[in-house]
Amino acid sequence: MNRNDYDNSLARQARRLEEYVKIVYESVFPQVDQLPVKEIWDAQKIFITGCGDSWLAGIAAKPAFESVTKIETNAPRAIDFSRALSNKNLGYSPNTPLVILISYSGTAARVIECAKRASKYGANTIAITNNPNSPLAENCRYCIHVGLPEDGEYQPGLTTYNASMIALFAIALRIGRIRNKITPLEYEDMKKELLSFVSEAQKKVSEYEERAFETALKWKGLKAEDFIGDYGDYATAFFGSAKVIETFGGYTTYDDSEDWCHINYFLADPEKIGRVVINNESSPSYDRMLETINAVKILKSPCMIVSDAKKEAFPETMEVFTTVKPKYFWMNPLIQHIPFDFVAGYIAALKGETGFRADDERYNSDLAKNRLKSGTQILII
Amino acid sequence: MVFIKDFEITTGKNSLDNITASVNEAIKESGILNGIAVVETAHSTAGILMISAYGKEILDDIVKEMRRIIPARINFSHQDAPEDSAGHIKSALFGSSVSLIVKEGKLLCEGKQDVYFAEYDGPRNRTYSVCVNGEKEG
Repeated sequence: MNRNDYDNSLARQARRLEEYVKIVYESVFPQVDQLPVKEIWDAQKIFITGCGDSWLAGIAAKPAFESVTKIETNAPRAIDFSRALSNKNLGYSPNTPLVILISYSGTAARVIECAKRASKYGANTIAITNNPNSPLAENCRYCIHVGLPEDGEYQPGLTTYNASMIALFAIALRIGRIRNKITPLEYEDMKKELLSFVSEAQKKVSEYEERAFETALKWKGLKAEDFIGDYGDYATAFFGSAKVIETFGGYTTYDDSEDWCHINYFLADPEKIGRVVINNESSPSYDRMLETINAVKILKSPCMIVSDAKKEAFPETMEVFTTVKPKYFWMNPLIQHIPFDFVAGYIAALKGETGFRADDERYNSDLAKNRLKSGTQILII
Repeated sequence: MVFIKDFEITTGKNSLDNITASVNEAIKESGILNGIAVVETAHSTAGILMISAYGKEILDDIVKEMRRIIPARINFSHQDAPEDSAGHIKSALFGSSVSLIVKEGKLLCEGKQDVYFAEYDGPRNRTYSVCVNGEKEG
C-alpha cells in the first residue's frame, strides 16, 4: 500500500510545521512588544478563551502562562465566559483581568460576545486572530495578527492551532519579562528555544509520518479512539479527539489520567478501542499516568503513547512516539499533536472520508455551515 | 599605534563587575607604554564607570542610589520592561565609556580606582571593548 496515495491536509500541514511557526513567530513578537506596559503590569488574573481548537490553544498555553508570568491563568470555555462567569471576575481592581480571545477568522460569535462582555466590565482585552479588521479585533483593546498567508490550507485546524499557541507564548513571555518574573537572559533563551525546538521537531516529522501511516493501517477498523492527557497535555489529548471527528467522523472520547480510571476505563470492548496517551517526564502527574498506562495494558487496548520520555519507560507492546524534549516543558503541546494528526489524516484517507462530512448534505445545511459562527445571537450579561 | 580588544561578560541583575584586569590585559597585549585606553560598551542599558570601591558596601550604595534616582517605572514612554526603560536613562546619564591614561604600561589610576561594567537590567550576555592608543616606547 503506497502512503503517497493517501496524502491529506493534516499531513501536508504537519510537514510544514516549522515554516508556518516561523511565519507566525515573525509576525507576533514585534506586535506583542508594543503591548502597553501599564496594562500588563496591572493584570492580576488572566483568562484565555475561544471556541474549538482556539480554546484548546488556551488550555495548551496555560502552563506557559503560569510558569512564565506567575499569574493565575484560567482557560474557560467561551460559553462559560460569556454567559456564566461572575461579573466580579471581570472588573477593575482588585481583579483587573487580562482577557485573551482567540479566533482565527475573528468572526466566532461567542468569542465576540466574550470580548464585549469583558470590555463592558472594564477588563483589558487582546484578540488573537488572522483578521485584524474582524469584529473580534474591533471589540478588543488590542489585536495580535498571527500573519498566516490567506491562501493556506488550514482545515482541519493544525496550523491555526499552532499559530494561536505561538501568539499566546509570545504574550506570556512579554508579561513575564515586564513583570520581572523572567530575566532578560531567560526571555531571550525562551524566544530562541521556541524556534530551535520546532526546528528539531521538524527533523522527526517524516519518521512520525511513516510510523503513523502504519498505525493508521492497524487502527482504521477500530470502534473508537480514546485520548488521555493531563494539564497542558489535556489540550493535546482533546485536540487529537477533535481530529478524529473532523477527519473521519469517528467515535472518540478524552479524559485526564485520574478520571479516565474512574470512567473511561469501563468502556466496553477495550481491545477495539485505540488509546492515545500523552505523558511527559516533566508532567506533574507522570507517575499517575504510568499507572493509567498499566491499566490500558491490562485491558489490551491498542495504545499509542506520545512522550518526551524514552520509550523504555513504557510497556513494549505500546507504540511509543518519542518527541523532542524541550528545554521548557510548556512548549511540548506545540508539537505533540503531530503524530496523531498524521494517524487521523491517514485513517480518513484510507476510509475515503471527507473532512467535516462535506460530501453529505446533512452536514452541508445552512445550520451546519453556520457552525463556526456558533449561532448569531449575542447576549451581553 | 592603535590596539583594540573585545571582551564578553555575563552580568547579574543591576550589577557592577570589576573589569580592570581585562583592561590591564589589553594594555599589556598592546605593548603600548604611554597613551590612552578607552573602554566602551555599545549596549543601551549598560555602561562603564570608574569607581573607588573600598568594600562591597560602596558598590551596593551606588546601585541603590542609581535605582533611587532613576527607579523602574511602568509609565516611561519607551514601553519595554521597566528595568530596561530605566536602564536606557541610566546608560545615557552615567555614560557608556571611560578614557584612561596609560603611563609606563600601566593605568595611571591603578590602585586608586577601578573600571566597572555597570549592568542596568540583566542578567545578560554583554560585550565591551578596550582601545589602546599610544606609543610603544616612551
